[in-house]
Amino acid sequence: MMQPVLQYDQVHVQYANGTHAVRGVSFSLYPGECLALVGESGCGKTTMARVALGLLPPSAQIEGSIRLGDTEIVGASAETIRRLRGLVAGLVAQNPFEACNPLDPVADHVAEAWHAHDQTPPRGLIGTALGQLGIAGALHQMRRYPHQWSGGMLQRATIAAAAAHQPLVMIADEPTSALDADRADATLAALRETGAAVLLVSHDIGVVARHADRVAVCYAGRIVEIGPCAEVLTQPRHPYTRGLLAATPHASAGLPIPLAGTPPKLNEPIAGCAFAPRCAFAVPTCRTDDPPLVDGVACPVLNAAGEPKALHRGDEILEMQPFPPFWRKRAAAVVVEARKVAKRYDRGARAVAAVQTASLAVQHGEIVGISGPSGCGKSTLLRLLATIEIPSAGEVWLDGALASRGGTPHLLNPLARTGFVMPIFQDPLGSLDARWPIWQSITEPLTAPHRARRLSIPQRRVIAREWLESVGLDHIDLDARPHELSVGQCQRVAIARALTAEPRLIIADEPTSALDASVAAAILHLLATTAHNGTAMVVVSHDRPLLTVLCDRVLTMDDGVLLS
Amino acid sequence: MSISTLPTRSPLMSALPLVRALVGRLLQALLTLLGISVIIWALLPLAPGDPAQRLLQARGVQDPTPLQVAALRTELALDRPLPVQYAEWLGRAVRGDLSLSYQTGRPVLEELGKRLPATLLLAGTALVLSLLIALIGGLLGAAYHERWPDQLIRLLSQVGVSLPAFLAGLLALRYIVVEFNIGRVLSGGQWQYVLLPALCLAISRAADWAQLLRASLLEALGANYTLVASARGATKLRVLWRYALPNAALPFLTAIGVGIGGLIGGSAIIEAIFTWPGIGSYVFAAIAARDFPVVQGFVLLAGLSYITASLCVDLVALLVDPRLRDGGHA
Amino acid sequence: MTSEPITQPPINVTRRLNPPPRSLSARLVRHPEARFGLVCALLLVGLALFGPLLAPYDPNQPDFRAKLEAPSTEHWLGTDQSGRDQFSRVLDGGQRTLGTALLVLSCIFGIGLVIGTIAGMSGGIVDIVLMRLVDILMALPSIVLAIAIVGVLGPGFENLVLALVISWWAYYARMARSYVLNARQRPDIIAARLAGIGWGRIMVGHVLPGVASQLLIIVTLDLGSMIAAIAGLSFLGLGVQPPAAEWGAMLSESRLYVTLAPWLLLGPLVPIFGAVLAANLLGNALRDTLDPGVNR
Repeated sequence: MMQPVLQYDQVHVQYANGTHAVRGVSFSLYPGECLALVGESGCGKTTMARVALGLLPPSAQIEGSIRLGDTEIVGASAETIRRLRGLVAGLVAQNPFEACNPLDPVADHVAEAWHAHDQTPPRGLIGTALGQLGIAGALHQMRRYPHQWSGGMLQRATIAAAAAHQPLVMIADEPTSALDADRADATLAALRETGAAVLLVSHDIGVVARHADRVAVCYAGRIVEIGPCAEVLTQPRHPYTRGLLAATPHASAGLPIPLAGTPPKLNEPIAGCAFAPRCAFAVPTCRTDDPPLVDGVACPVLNAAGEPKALHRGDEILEMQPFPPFWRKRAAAVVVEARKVAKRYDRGARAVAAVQTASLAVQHGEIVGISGPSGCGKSTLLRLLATIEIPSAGEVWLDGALASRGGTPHLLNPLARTGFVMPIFQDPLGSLDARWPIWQSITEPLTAPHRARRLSIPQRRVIAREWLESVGLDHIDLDARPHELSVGQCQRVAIARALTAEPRLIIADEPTSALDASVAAAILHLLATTAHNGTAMVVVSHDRPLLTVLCDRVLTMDDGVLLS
Repeated sequence: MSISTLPTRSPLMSALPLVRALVGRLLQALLTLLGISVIIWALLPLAPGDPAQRLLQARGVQDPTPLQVAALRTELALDRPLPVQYAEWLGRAVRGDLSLSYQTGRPVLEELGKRLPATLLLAGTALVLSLLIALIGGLLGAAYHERWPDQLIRLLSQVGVSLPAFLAGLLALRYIVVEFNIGRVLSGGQWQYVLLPALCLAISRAADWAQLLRASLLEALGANYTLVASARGATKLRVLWRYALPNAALPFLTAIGVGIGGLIGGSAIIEAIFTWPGIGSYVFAAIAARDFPVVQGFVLLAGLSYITASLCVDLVALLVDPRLRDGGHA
Repeated sequence: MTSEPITQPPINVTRRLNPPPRSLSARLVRHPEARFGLVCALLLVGLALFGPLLAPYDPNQPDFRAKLEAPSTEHWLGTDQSGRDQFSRVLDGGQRTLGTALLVLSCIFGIGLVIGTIAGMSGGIVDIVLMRLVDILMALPSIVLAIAIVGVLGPGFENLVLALVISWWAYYARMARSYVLNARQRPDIIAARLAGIGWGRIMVGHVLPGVASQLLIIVTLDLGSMIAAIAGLSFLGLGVQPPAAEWGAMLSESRLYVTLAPWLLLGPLVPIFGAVLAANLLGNALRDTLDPGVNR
């Protein structure tokens, strides 16, 4: 077998604040291959990758052994590690705009690969390298500044910088999560073309499946399963891998299945298997014995039992089956209709058309998805439908009555401000007033002047409790402030607030993009249930598989035009 | 904005946004100056008592007769509507005529101009000192983050920020001038004696700027572009100097722009303490003598230098940050 | 209500083991620099409230037999040029300096809040006019403007307060306006609007508490500069007039005797420095606590 270019042996990382981010990780990366570290936020995958370049704060304690090429990294002097950076191992960061110094032209960013090691870049090489990565007019483009580039192009430029000295290893930390889907594939293809072994950190199973050779699934600072992509992603063995894959939207499957529970806190000692508290297969020894990684899986129970045919996590899964669309109480009544709406913004001298033309009718109980790349105007269309903004041209009708019309600066239909439409936002924490206890946020719609009943505070708390139970937050403190809850819990509270108003239409702007897969799946179920009860819904997302499984129909928006 | 839609631009064309931003900023400064002139002019009608009577008394007429007052009112056009008075005042001010000092009867501009070099010497030295101290303190603090040099600098800057110029001046007077007979209280404004008053004036600003520079440097050091530069193999020093400092310079520049206002006001107070023969001490004498045209001239001069300083700061920011040149926000 | 409960796996509602204390005061006490600032501030407030009662002598009673005496057991900080007990005058003067700073800042807080909110909510011509005024006022160094206004109106307590308020409120109005403008786009406020809550209730419930706490941070951060400005203007003879004791005015008098009676200087100087330091420490702590991520 070939000599690995990067080898981890029982690596532990503990931060100064006590967080034990990496708890005994061993793996090898071989020349030219791509190994992906996948897992949800807080599983330690970024730390696992960065430690190889010595990029952790000096206060972090590192144990075990990491060999990069021929050099041992753990315990090496800062200067030794510095000499390896860029030459033996390169880094591609998440957001290319943040990775480049905003004050210098992109050429300087690429040239830094040489300047950092007191060398001068060979004449014309930067332009050639950029041109080879498919950047049109590279010689001219590279004199321009990062903010004048597009994300996909700039990410390729940072790859050119990382690959300048043909390093053995490229460490790519979520290199595509700031990019649109079609640019993600081109970026990863460029990364593979460098010929270096790639350690890819990603939460996006789809990207990993298309580009990685092997995958390591991380949970609570450990690798719980590792193996070739084709095996791990189609025949997962570890219960967590199964849960994670079941929670990931897949166009050919039904609604994703949420994973119960929350990951353990890494600043407290963990006894036994970290996943045991959430695991349906757990036996008593799971809670006391630490399972070693045997044959690529850290689960002795499954290894002993062989390959179980059907997956059952108790009875939950049966009840979590996706709702067949025909269950819904659909009626012909059109809840919201947009007729050739357009929206322009005046930005100084020039007018920017966010929405050029869009026509759409949504029926009672229907879920309509709108997908498209960032900046295509889908969020603006959503705001027009919700009458948060008035169109520049065209009309929006709510419940068969004209609500807003281009050229008329005010609303024409009072229905628009009665909780008829309620929103769900991308940022769950920001969508609740940080100062208010959650019961107050949830019942706020009931205090609107048009509601006949005046409610006392005890009554409001009872109602809030009922709605919280209906969104699956049974034991939550009514007086909790948003920052005391997890992001997923906040999004449930936000949904509860929308439901309290008993809306006929819910608009949701990227409702799950701030959430991890297992939490997002639960939110999708909530939305599906709400539509099942008759509320129409318009969901905007850049994630097309997600819309395919959730929605009755998915429309595409491109450059301000809604295609049907 | 996608690249393909942008036409290829010649170097001359790419300087265009810079020029446009500059012209815009200049026009804005002129408008602000116009606004300031209204406030400065309004100081006179605001003053208690009748201006004509005040002027006559200043000219030494003890008990002005109503006839004398009326004649002067016509002469000064005080019987005209206020907007007309403002327009005439502005017209004279633009030509450099800030009317005559009540005390000496000489043009205010001339009186102020005579004392301007001393004030510029004091404020300029203080500015250079503040910048030097802030740069050294901020860079050391960020380079030795959370270690003893940083902690020492934090302590010193916390004390310095809480030491307004006049307290620093009095302490210097008590412990340096009186105790050790170094420097002097009554100086002629010569450059040999500028260091002590300038240092007193610089302390609080230097401490404030050092704190700010340290914080901005630390923020830049935590940014992803510095992480990526380290991952390319750049040394710590190179990251600090080449990446953190230029990026930290932007908030630092803004603070300098604001701080210069305090420097202008503070230099007046320091001049009063060290009897420095500049504009500041002259203005306090004028206030005591109720010589309002001088006060007006002082505010105009202060406003003008403050606006010029902010304009220079904006210019430097435009040169440093390409995003600002494209009309964006840093 | 939905008739059919949504079946969900039970959500593990884990609260943080060590949740940060909910009340602001409890969080402030955890901040080491804030603790020092709080102690200083409490001492100074106590001094301002009870100082005049603690004064061993009448602060304004001259005693011409005991002029410019050095500190002794009888006169802890010595006596001034009229034989008045300097310690009693320091105790008496604190109320004036600190009280004036608080008075001026409360006026500025109120004016900034009202004008900024009106500009942010109304938009259009009202907004443009108000913000032009703010721009113009901010283009003059506030201490210069204050000197000019009080210089023209004539020295005295009321004119000092007026001058400081006029020259200082603009920044507060601008901050309040930008907060209101941001808030109008905030998701929680959009949700409330769609639910049918009126602007008035949204302002009171969602916007104003945020603006007020934002301005409160700036007030605390500015308290030190305000104390320094008041003492500085009084030092120049533009503020509180003798014989009333005020720290800045006392400094001004003691300066004349700096060679004859150098001890007179420290009596008012140390409390001014202490007050500015305490205010700065408190302000920084409050900003760090309310906006984590800044200055770290």
